[in-house]
Amino acid sequence: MLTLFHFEQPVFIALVALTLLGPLLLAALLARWPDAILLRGLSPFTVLPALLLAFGPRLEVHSPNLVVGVRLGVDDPAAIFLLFSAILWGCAGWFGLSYLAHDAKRARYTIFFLMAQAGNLGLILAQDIATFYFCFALMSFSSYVLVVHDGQAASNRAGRIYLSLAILGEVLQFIAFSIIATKVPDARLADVPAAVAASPFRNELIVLLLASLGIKAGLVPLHVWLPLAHPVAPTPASAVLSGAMIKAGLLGWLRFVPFGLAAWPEAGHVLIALGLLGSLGGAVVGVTQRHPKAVLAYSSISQMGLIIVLVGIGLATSSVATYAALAAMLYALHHGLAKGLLFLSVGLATSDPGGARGQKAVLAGCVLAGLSLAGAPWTSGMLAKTALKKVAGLAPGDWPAALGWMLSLAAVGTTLLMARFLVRLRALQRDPAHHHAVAPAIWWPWTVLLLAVLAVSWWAVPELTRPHLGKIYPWWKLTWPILLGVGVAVAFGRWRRDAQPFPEVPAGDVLSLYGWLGGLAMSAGRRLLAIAQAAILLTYRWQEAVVVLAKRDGRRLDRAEGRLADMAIMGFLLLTIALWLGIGVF
Amino acid sequence: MSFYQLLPVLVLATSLVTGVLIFLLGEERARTRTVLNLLGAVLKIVLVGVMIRAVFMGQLVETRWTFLPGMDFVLRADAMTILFSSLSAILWLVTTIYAIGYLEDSPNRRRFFGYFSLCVTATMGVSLAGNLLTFFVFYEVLTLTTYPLVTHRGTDTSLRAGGMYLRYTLIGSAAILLAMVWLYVLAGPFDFTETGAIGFLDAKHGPALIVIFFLLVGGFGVKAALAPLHRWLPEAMVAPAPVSALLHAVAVVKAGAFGIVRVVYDVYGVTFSAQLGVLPVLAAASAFTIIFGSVRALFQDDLKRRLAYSTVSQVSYIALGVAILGPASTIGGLVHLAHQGIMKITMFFCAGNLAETLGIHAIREMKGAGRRMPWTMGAFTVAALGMIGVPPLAGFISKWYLGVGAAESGDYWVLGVLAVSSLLNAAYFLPILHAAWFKPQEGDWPHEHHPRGRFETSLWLLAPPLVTALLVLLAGLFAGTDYSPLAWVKIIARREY
Repeated sequence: MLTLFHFEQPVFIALVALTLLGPLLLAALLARWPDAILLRGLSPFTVLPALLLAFGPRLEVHSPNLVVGVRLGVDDPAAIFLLFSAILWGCAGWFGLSYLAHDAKRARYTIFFLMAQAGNLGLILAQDIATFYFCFALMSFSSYVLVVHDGQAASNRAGRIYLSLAILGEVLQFIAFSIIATKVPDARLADVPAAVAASPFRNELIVLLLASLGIKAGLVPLHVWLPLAHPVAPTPASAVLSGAMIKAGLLGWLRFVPFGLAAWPEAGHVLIALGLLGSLGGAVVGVTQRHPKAVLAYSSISQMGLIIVLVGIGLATSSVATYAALAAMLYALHHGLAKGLLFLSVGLATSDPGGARGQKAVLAGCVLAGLSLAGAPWTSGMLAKTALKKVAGLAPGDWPAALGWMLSLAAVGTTLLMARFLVRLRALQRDPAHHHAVAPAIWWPWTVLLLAVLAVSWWAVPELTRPHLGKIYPWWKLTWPILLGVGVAVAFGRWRRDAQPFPEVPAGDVLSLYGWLGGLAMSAGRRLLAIAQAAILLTYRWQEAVVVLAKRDGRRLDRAEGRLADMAIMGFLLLTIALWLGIGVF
Repeated sequence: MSFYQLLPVLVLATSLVTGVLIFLLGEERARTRTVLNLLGAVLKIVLVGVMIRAVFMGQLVETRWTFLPGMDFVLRADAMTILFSSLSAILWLVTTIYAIGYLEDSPNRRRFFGYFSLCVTATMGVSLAGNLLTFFVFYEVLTLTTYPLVTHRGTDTSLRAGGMYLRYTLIGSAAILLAMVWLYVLAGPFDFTETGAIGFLDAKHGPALIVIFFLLVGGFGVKAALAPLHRWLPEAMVAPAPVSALLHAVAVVKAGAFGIVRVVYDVYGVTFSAQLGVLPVLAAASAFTIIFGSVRALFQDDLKRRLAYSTVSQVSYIALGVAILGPASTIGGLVHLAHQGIMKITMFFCAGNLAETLGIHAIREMKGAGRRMPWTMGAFTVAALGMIGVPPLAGFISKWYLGVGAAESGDYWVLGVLAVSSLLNAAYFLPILHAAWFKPQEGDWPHEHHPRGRFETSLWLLAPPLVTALLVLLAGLFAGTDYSPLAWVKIIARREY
């Protein structure tokens, strides 16, 4: 699989160490000398070791002395994830050099960009539970700083919501991982799926894993942070958020969920349904978005929905699990690069370095990436969609028939999303108010990424699929949804020429529903607490309370209330813990 | 008398003699005092190093002195001793350096450093005590020597806090004394023994043993700040920063936690405690304290107060690990004894630096502090992330073993407690980090009295937190090597089961 070079263990160890420590070291140096242009200029080069590893032999290094034992290695999934992640991080880092050249906070941005990069590439190389957990956390928390980069109110809000869900994910991961770790010698990832399959808490663990990693993967209904956070980050950061980091959730599933070892059809059905909901719902909400980056964020939810369908099929039926996992990785590879290119294009549209002809080239690149996402012939999308449809044909129960037309519908949705994106991008190109001057060097990373998209389309993806795919799906079956989508888009464009023909669904869609529910719960809780306080007031210190109330002595009232509040909190917690214990015991 | 019989006494003497000499010296002899302090601290580290080697080799390191028939005064180094005494020795040196910088040109330094040395002697005695009686004696000395430190400033609030501290701890001591006598009546004289000393007792004493257990744990729980016996700790934060640092990291709070550890492992024995059925109660109490302390910490605006409630919560991790049967949770609990120490001492050093240099006491004043004092806030950040449990820092190792231990013994509710506590830790530490690093400074600092020079503050103040923050990183990153706290705790766990 994609192996181009051979090297020995020492070289491998050096490359692994460079992949992880190179960016961290550079970040540390940048923290010391924030204005050193040379250091910033070095940052894209830190992905090169990872790129070599992607094309290198399958090796592993184990160091029992570090933390609770560190194991890093490249296996087939790691090679595929490394390939697109390294390219994307490198191009986005390179892009960022010019894009943020005059930004006051560029040093801080680069430092956290490098840290997130080390986390993302590290979690791909991780072959033990703790290292995976650490790298995942490093990536999640570092990218928070990228989300809130511009310090605007919208970014801070997005950052808060992102951080809350990221922490929730970490905590759920911790619970799942520590249960799993007791059953896995050395906490080795290769032994994890079997241990989960054999665990008496198999189903609970699977739910925990699906939820905790699903936050990153944009699994509905945990996706609410994504359309808020992805667009507000600086454009190159959006590219890696939506192209590379979003896939970390998928890799986690592939590493931890016992695909092929234990089938759980019910969960599989739910997951397929959620995936379709994300895929179709993402398209519907996405076309209403005004900003091209918001459209792209919803497109990511939509595309991840298709990957989630594959994961669901793999979970439901053991016999197709390996195949489904491969298709999911292929889809991740294909989507990662194309989505990265689309995001960088938004950056070019607002920086205007190449004049009118340059903007035409940007549009052409976007059309190409968009067609690829929709699954047009002679693109990586066609192969990815073929794999998807073949796996869908093996889905359990009545799903094959339903999936047949629903996936076509999703392709129509993707085409409409891309059309909407192009329209909004064009509007951005024409609106000089958003433009800022950027050095022409910014064309290089974009061009390299475009070439990478093409290379992946015509070399890597065929290489990966050839042994498995058999006959390519009839091209017209993939093409009619695109033609239909284009037709609908053109017709609609003729009919309604105004920029915002339909009301925009607020980004984060169901988030306000959560807010409402949370508020409801809060006020209920507050009411309960007040009742508890009143009860304690009557039983515990009623004499004092009466005296205090009678005297209306403010200071004493405050003091008494403080004490009572303490008692209430204590009582409340005691009750909770008693319940908890009760559940634990019985 | 062989060297190894003398060694425990020598370890105590390094700080005892230092303390006495400091009292004899004049107030103004600052330079001599500094030399004496540092000499004593370094010498102690060397001696503890010798002791580590001896214990590792299986050499008996013991001083025994019978002062009443059947009542021995025993100083002995076992694996558990090493854990506590090496932590105290290292942190004493660091804190001494810090205190020299912190108290520069302030009054009553002779008194301060004198009691400071005696306090460390008592802590060392607690760690070396070979039976309950010896433990109790040093435990009481610790109470009496820390009181002048807590009330050092002599203000009304510090005197009030000191009074509260004395009331709480003396009531706890009374409980311990009662339990100790009762246990002596039942079991006769006994030393701390790995895997337990009183497992031979007849089953009919069961109820009495349960009561004694809770008297002991309750008594030690006062210093370990188990809720609801924790009230003195947040009040005691009026003490000068080095005292708070030592109080929270090694001396007082840890002495209580160490007492609980000794009772469960070396008096009752962990398997015998489990048979008596007392461990779930201890687990519940510590779980409650973990959550309660974190919730209370959330609502504090005073930085040191928030840190104090955080200690209430974090120290109970030790009791929680002790209360769950199984080697992994033992490892998690005991290693937290060391890990919590280095993390919390870093944070108190940093809080002291902010107060001394910029006059910052409240969290709302910390906006932009990261830009003014990047090294201090960097050390604080490392420690705070460690507390939350972010790998590869020290706190993660503790949480990992606690989590694995809970899963192994089937106490899955503990995972929930750990998860909620991590969330709460994040909720009360991350806003501090956010304010310090990401918010712009608002107006002048409350009381900036250290002029900007080569470093952001005096090097005496800056070096200690940097060293301990580095330890937080190293203890986590190299946990798997033979020289980490984790490696030593694994040896203890092997000997206790």
